[in-house]
Amino acid sequence: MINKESAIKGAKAVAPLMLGIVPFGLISGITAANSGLSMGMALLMSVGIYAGASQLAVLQLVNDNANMLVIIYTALIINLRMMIYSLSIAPYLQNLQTRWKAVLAYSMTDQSYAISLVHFLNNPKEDVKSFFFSASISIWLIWQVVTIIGYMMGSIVPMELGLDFAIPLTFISILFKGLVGWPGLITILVSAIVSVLASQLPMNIGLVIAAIVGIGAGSISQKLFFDGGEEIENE
Amino acid sequence: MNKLELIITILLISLGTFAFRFSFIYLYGKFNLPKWLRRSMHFVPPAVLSALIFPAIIIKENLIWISPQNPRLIAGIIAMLIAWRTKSSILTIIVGLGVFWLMIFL
Repeated sequence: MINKESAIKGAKAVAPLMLGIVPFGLISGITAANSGLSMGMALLMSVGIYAGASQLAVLQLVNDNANMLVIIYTALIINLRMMIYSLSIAPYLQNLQTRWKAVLAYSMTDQSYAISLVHFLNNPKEDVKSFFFSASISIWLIWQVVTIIGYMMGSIVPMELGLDFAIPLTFISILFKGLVGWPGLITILVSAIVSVLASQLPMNIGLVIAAIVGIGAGSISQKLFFDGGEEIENE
Repeated sequence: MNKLELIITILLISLGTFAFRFSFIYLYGKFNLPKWLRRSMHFVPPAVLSALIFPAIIIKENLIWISPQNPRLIAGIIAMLIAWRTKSSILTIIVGLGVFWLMIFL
């Protein structure tokens, strides 16, 4: 069952991020309305796909009359990073029932994943299911509600506000949480450089390449320069 | 693209995205991950977050734009400094948006 204390901790941990998630959800709803999607179709996207960046990419490609396979491929490449999330958070979920694993996997976002993984690293005794579920489902609920609100507002919100900047800000706000010293900073730096240089590669594959190179740089630098033995085995 | 095609597209993307999210969470324990790979997992959040952040604040219309005129870059750097020094998410987002709006509206 859900442990209330851990659930509250999870919800509290993601609460400040709503400042960025709300505007992004609004944009997502507004864009869906402006692309001529019905409300039902917009909801099918936000509930089914439930990954903001890929949803916006799909809408743009639909507007451009792109080929169905191109749209599917592009969206899936953007979401490929979720496999890395799945791999890194898997050890903490291994004792849960399969249906809980499925629920937690479905509702995982960039933010709830990053916040929860860092929390579990620092609090090995946490009730993983309650914390992670509560962090994810809070974001899920807010996302669905503001997507609908955005859809109904349509073009009332001026695009010049640049609300799309709100999402990178939520990532910045959690970037240094639980950072593992110098190797962590090296990871950030290397990943930043590769992601910018690789951003011209077709269809967002640069993101995944940058993440993998960054993870490699962090691990290798830790092994070469900072290794104090086996102290951070995470099990 | 007609309505049916759009529904199929959305459903296929939904399915694929769920498969990515579920993949290793489901498979874990059914095989052994090498130790070096398990240890490298500590670096996943900073690596992916960084790769999401920097193109969003540096790239504009497919070009690298490193300049004090770039509102996303300046607001992003200031937000990073705040995030690093204070570790406060709410302060980071408020100041980041504040600086960004000041730069585009002034």
